Amino acid sequence: MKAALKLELRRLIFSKELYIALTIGLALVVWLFVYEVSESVRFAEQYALYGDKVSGYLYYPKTVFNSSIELEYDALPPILLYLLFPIIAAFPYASTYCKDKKNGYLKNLLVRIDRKDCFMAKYMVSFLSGFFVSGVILLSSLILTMLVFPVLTPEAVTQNYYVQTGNMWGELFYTMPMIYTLLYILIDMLWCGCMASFALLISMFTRSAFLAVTGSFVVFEVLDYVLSLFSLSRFSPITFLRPIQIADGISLEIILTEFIVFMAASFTGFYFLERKKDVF
Amino acid sequence: MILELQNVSKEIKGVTVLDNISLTMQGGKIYGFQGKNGSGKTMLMRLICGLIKPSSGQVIINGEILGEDISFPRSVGALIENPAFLHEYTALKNLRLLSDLRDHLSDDELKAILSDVGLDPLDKRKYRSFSLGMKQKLGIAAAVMGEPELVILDEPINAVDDAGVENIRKILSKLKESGSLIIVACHDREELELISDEILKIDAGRIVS
Amino acid sequence: MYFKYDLKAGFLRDLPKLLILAGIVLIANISLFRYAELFSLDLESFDYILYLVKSIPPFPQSGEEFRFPVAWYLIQLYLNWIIGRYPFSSVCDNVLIYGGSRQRWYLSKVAWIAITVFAYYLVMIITSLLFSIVSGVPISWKINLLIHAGEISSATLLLPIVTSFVTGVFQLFLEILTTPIIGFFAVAMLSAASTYITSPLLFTNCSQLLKLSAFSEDGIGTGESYLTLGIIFALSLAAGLIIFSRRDILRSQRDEE
Repeated sequence: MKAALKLELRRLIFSKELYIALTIGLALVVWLFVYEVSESVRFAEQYALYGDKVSGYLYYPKTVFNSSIELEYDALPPILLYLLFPIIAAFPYASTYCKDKKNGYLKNLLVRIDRKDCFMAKYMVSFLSGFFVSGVILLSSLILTMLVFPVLTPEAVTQNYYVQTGNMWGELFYTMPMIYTLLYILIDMLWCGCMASFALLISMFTRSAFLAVTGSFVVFEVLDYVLSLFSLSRFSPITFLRPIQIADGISLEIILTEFIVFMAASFTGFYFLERKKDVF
Repeated sequence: MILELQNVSKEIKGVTVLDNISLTMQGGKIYGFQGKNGSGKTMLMRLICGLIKPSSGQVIINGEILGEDISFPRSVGALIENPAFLHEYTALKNLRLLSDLRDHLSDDELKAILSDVGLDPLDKRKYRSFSLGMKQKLGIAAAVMGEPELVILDEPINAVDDAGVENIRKILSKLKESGSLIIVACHDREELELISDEILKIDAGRIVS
Repeated sequence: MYFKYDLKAGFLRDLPKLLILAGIVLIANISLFRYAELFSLDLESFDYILYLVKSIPPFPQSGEEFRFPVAWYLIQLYLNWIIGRYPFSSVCDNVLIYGGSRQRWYLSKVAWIAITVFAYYLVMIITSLLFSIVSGVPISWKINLLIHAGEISSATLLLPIVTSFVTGVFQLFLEILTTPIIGFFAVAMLSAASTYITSPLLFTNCSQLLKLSAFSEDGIGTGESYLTLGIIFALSLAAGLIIFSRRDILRSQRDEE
């Protein structure tokens, strides 16, 4: 098991796909950072000149908790990042199984490593790839923002924050925002791992790397659309992954239950069913 | 059919894979290329097919410069490296699709070609369920259908059974008689000596003998 | 010659995928039907078709909170997903050399995109019309769902189809330049960004009816849209042709499909 895991991890670390996914995610982080800094400077200059007349309400400085990519709510980079997370998570590793099937490398592996170990290692590394990529992107944004913006405890009265006290962990956000943010980042990381594993499930049915990587994205988009039509957006991963909670009624129960369902589906499919298939 | 290579070199990512090759080949002959793995045989074949472009030099086919006057040789069939077909179609349907691109052969002609290489023309199995040898035979069938003037085969006897090898020899001999220029790359010196009129040795991207 | 091959090996093989599109359209129609019932709106068949490509008004000029247009995005995304797979898989030794010309191979893919886009929108229209007939929605070409801000011409209403075609050609160029996954990713990103930023430079704006001046005061003009699309099409086509003509085909991509 250790050898199989080591091999797959090495493949992940040395794959160019990992660095492409990280580059795309970090580019969005930097884009938002530049936008936030320039907006803050512009606002501060206006405020220095015109005072409260600028905004019509009390000036409250931008903080880490409404400037990082997790918690900013009206800029484009977070919209893009959270929308494209299924593909960013799947990109680094999910296509390797298809490629292994196609070029015969899987046979090479299976004659040397126990089947169970081989499939378990692939599943684990797939999960880790999504977990790691999303973690690097989200934590980078948080750290980068902390370099410039103050870590002020959010004040609901300023109306500068999208999270409502009635939302899941809403009170935690307004009392211990860093804990809230880190916990939500952990949820996002776990879910991105889950999305990458789900892409592995799709690769059971195809030898196409394109379908494996993009398939889970399309599935999550269709799910998001169908749920939104029935006013059930709170059940859509693409929606509930945003820490600003853009839909009402999101709860930890929903997030965890769906996580378990998706993980169980991908694990059952890939580890139990795919493992038993003949390899040609 | 006259094929000329004039001082052809090819560099890929800073590595010289073909180095100043000059050759003239003519129709009605079988040219065997022999060389160890990575010597440049496959690259030379891709270059003659027009699939890769020379970094310097020219490939001239019947007076037309490849890549300038024509994108690909006007009448060519090739099997280079692994055969590639549509996985969900049968052998016959795959050949029909390819034939519609240029030769427009009838179903009977296509069935005859499949029989010639040792495949059952009425086999309903999809390409995806073919064995390696069957895929190779289909690749050869695709390369020789329509009796092209230029036939390029890279390791044609790979994974093919003895009867299949015999069939390939017969097909090549027939094509040669009809005036086609045939280029075969093979690591098996004995096989090359058996089928070729001329054997060229290639090493590190150069023709050495 | 390539075109016949593309029709058989690409278009006909992808036809079953359009059933999923019909399913998506049907769900959207049912949702609009329920909405119309709830708010007593008198909608007619053409409204059900336009609903699929209306998207959202220019943001933030609309003054409303940004609500991502999931229906429009999904419909465009699915089309780009269908377009993303086939061309690269037909970068195949035999197919290329039998057809005899790299330029013709590329132009045939452009024609294949045109046919695919046309069929895609045809499925959307037919599904909506069938839904209207079955559910008793009056069949007419009257627009009730969207408020006019300017004159509506056929050219305006055809913009979503033309934009999808140009986006497909742009995606083909990116695919040839990089990989199918990166091409698809870039177009998915472009479409998402265009819901947020209204500018003809993000040309997928032109396939969102509510982003056009005919339906929003701050929208993009029809002429401006066609000009932008024309430029993007010409550049993508020229760049794609040049790149593909010079590209070394080091292996068949059939097995990479």
